[in-house]
Amino acid sequence: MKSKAFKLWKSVALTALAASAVAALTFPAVPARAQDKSPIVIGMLEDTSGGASFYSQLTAGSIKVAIEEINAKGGVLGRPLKLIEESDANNPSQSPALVSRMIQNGAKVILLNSGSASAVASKKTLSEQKIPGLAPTNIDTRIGSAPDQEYSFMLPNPITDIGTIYAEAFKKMGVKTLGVISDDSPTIAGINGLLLPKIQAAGVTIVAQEKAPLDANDVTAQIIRIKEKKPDAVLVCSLGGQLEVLFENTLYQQLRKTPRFSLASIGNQPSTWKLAQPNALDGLVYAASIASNNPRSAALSKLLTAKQGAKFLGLTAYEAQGYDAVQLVKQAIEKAGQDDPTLIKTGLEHLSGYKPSFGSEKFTISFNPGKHIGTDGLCGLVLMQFKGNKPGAPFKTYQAACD
Amino acid sequence: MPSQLFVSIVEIGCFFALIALGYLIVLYGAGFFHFALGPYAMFSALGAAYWVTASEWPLWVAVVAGVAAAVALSVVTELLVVRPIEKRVRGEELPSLIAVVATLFAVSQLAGTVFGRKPFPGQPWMDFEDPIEWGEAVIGGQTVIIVGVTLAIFILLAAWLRWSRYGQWLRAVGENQEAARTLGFPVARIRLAAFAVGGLIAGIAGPLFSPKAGVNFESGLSYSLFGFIALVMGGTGSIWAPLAGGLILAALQIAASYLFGSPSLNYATLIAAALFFAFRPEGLFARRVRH
Repeated sequence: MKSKAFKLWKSVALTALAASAVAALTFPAVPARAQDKSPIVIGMLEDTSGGASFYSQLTAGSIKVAIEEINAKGGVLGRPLKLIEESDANNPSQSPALVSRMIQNGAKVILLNSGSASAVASKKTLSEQKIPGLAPTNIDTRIGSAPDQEYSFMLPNPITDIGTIYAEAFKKMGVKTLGVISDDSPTIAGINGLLLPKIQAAGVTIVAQEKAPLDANDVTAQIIRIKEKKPDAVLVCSLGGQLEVLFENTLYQQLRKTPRFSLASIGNQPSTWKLAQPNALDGLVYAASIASNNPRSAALSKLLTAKQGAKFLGLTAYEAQGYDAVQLVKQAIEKAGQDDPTLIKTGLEHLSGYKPSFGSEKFTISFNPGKHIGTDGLCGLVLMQFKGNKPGAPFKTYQAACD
Repeated sequence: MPSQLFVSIVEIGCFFALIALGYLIVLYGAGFFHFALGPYAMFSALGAAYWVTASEWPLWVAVVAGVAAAVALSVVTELLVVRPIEKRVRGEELPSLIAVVATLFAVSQLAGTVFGRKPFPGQPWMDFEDPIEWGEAVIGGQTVIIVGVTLAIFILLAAWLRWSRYGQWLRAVGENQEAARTLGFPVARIRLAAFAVGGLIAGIAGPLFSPKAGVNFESGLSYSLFGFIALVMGGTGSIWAPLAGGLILAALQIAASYLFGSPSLNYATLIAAALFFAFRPEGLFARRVRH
């Protein structure tokens, strides 16, 4: 009897041991996250063919370099970053569906790298699905402001800051009347809605406001209508690309002696400079973000030269902001300790004093639960002036100081 | 109206005129409305721009290659799309017209696939360090090229149609293919020549005009539409009719933008087209038939 019982217990013990071994092989005893080597998916909404493609692709290039660099150093929390991409062709009506698609495909964070209007259109989707979105280059204040801003963040100085800086510059120059020429994209319509009231509030009268379609063949009529109002200065509000070249060529022909200003577009798109007629960009002032006193800009410039070779035409705000966006996401994931989107969003909200590769040397980026626009002051912006058809020196009349 | 606007009218008018001229030549030689010429102009312009910027080809090599591509596309359209369908449906025009409209979209997507979906800058053929000043107007190098090339094409084509054997046969075939075939004309070859010449004109027009405002794979549809309206306005009664139609259309667009703002451009085009369709569908220069 004793031997029968012993045999029974032995077989039970062996069975239990075997079952444990199988269980151990199937279900590791150690918690999943410590051994998880699967990629952390980052989605990127971009524009590969529309009006924003001129700058979206510059940003995408540095985003990919940043991800490659991070993965080469072991990734984040020991896991590689994996980028998935969707292009909305700068059509904001497509953006929410494409963002949802990337979320369904596992994206834990979305980089909003199309036009500003696309980023604004994506906010509600991000808020409903509780996935953080970070716009590296878009300047529409609404991206980081209520409503639906809980999961939306933006990196650069918003358009209202550009308005503040230009208002101050106009004051210093004695500009009282302004002519404005814009493209008819939804992004620029939104930007103008925030920018122009800021300039008007500083006492500048907009005497002419003209628009041209993104596929315009000629803008002479619009420029002549502005010319007839004899403004003290002209402001070009455009996504950039060939249309802004057309604006600048025609302004140079018709209003050569009138000071010209541009948003952050053409000045940050080196591939368009040689398309302008000889000297057509001379004297044009634009909002840049690369300051000569920022060592991080120089370091990034070196890195991109090494990685992109002849394709890299010089550091612009777009590349710097794309690179910094990835670094901020990395830090947020590390703060979260895992790839849970809500924890990543909280991680972003607790980033403070990040020193970016754009802006002045003392410029920093911070977020908090009530502040989803990252800039800590106006000195993320540098007003630059073209000499001939290339950026020359900083604009002598006015520069924003770091707070 | 300020004199600079007249410079714009001439530039844009010449481009519309060339597309319309391409339509007219194919209409003369094949009795067919070749709606896909706009995308051929786009393909040529986009190809030239791509080969210069991405492949660093010399400009002239890239332009010649773009023009050759446009001619090839036009010839292939006749051989593989229009001719087989017309043979099958005997006398009905609609099926082949629909097929060519489908070709219009296919060529656009092909361009987007081959050259990418990003807009490309056009490459100027010539530029002046100091543009020509004419009163208050300023005339750049590319404007001079556009006008010169346009006039040269019109003059050469007029001479070809009047004095060359193929040119004279072209109209005969376009009027009545069956009669022409009965009389021993090489109808198939003449049709092919018409398509090739149409493609050649569109292929030159694209890179000629694209330095002004760039080009992307979706530009072809608007080129086709404006060329068509220019032909409607000018009529088919003379080789110079497309030039008149192109300049009138350009003048309407520029004047509307200047007088009423840029949103009025499309309305002005629509209203002008509707008025011509309603009251003068044969255009300004109609073909006269002696009784």
